[in-house]
Amino acid sequence: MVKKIIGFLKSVRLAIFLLILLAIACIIGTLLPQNQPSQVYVAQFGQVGARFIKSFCLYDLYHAPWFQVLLIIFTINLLICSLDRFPKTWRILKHAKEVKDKSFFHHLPLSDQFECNIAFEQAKGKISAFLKGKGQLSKVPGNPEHVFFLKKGQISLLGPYILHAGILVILLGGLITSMKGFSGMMIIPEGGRTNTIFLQGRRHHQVYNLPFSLECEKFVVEYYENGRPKEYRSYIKLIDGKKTLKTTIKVNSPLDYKGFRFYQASFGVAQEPTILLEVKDKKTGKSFELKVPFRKPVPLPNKDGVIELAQAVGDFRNLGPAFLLLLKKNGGKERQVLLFSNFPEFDAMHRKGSNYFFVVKDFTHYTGLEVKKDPGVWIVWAGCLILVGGLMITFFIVPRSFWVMIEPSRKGSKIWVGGMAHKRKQAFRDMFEEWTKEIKEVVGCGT
Amino acid sequence: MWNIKILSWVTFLYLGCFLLYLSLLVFRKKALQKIATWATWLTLALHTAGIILRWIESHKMGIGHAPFSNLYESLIFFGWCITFLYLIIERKYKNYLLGAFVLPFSFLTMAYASFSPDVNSRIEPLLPALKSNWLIVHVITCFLAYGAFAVSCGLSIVYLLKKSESGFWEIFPSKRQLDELIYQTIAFGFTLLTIGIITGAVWADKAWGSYWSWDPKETWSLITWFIYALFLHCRFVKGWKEKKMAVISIIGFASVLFTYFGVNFLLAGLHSYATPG
Repeated sequence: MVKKIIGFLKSVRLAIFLLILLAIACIIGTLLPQNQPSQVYVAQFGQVGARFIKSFCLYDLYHAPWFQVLLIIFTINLLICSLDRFPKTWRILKHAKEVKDKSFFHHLPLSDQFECNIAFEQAKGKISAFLKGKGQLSKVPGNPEHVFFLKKGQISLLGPYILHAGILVILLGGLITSMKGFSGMMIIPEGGRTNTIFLQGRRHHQVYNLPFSLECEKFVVEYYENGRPKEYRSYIKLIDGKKTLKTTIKVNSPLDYKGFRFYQASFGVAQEPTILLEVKDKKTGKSFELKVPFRKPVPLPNKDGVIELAQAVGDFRNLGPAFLLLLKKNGGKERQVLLFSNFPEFDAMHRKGSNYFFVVKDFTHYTGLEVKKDPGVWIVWAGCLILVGGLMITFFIVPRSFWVMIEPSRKGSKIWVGGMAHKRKQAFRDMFEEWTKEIKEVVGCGT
Repeated sequence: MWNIKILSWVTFLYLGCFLLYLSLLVFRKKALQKIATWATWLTLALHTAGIILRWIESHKMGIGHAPFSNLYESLIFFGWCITFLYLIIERKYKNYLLGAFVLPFSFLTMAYASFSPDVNSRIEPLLPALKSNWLIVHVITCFLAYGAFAVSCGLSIVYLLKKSESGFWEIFPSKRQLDELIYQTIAFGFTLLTIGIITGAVWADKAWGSYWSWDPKETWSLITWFIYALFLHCRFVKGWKEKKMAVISIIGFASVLFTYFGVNFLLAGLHSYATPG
């Protein structure tokens, strides 16, 4: 019984079956929207369909228990299958076959024999020189000295084991990532400092406090001429005890510090921002800048009233950052002024009967940094290197063995050639024929 | 923009090359074979020049970046990879009749890039997430892999069409040779696809903060990887005939096409740079 199970677990058939199952599972995962609220599934597939999706965890398929079981079986299969085949490969690699007599050549997949009128010693010298030009000749104990054995690229036989080991290492890294790794968001207003991370994923609603803190000195967005974003940049000061470190974090260039990685992820209007207004006088056309802090009335340039920033919204009805200001002229009524930083013309066009209009030049941003700690990632990269190395060895090195035996005969010498390749047999056949032809030329033996 | 003009000429030249290979298939003249091979090499040279020119022109516009950033540019490079790999195989195996089965792929991808109204051929500045040196390595490895899979698909079609070793099909490589060629191109493509997925993961780790996030593009590249892994293991199972493997190779290429186009058009995800328009 146990033997049967192991026999099943180590079979290539199971591997093939698993590859098909994994592919089908992944296809379902990409076609079915993942991690949606249950109403979405009910609306799309009806009550029965939604219940089916729920009971098989299809809404979060890649983390579903059955998918993980599939991965575990895949891992076991990979491991056992490789371990099972390895000794056989190792034997091929370590032990060269002894060549007792010419019958050896009859059992090889490729062999040939011919007789030439060349002296035995001379033939031996010439063939030995020829083979040495092709590669290292291997000595096999027990072989007579008139037998030559050339083997090349034997390491290729180990390739599949190396690449399978690489896959196992990657899976191990992935396991460590999912168990030990975590990620979260850090929101830092310009000028602010924090060490708090709001965790995401399984541990969301939790916070994590870093042993050091980050200060955002400035956040900048640059745009191309066509209005598309060019770059998001946070100027960061990292404070760790007495040590400080100044750096910039951009998309594609995160900050690494003490096993944590900080990514530029989002940005927006800080919670209590200060805004920089451009105040334009409608009559004179003069303009000046005015800094307006949050909920602190500021006198207007002409001293004929005060203005106050009452509310700031990061995104008002998909129109981007919006600011509500209260304008109070001396002796007059308080008026509301709505400004959008994405639409500088808005105030000039919408507010009539005023001497001034306002444009938002700048405001205090916050930068959103994604923070990640992932002790598995280096294991994954190591596994990737092993995998690629294994693939190269497997596919681009051809293992081949080549034997030549010479015996004196009445006519001169009798020569046997034989070859064996464990794969790429067609290419080897061509090479074998080529070498045989060359040997015939070397010993001066026409066909 | 000269690069776009040159690349649209290249499209027609590929059609010409395909017709040359087709007439070679019909008339079997040695001279025709020389012309077809030379014409294809020259077209590939012009194709290369077009890609390089596009790179230079993007720098002249002040938004310089390697021309691998959107659907148009990827299609152009895909066409290049198919032709390049085909010519290498032709040189190595000295069989000139397969061109009629491979060059249509080059022509179709180029034609789609150049003439479909869905495909925007303008040089656009790079989004922040794409600004990385990984772009070049990732795209080149992935598309060389796609190119190899396209070639193996063409070979598999020949394999399935070839009913006997005599008559019209006689001068094609033998079924044995075809099978080995298919295996070789897939081994090459599989290695590059693996490197492509890995470079993508390294890049994703840098740009998005996670080396694997089950994004549809990632997942489909993994599905493709599973299918070709399946192909590579079939030899170890008794009773899986070469014919079945040719079928798997064609299914694999269908999966490549879905990874490339289907995901962009049908599934939303992080990898939306290559969507049309």
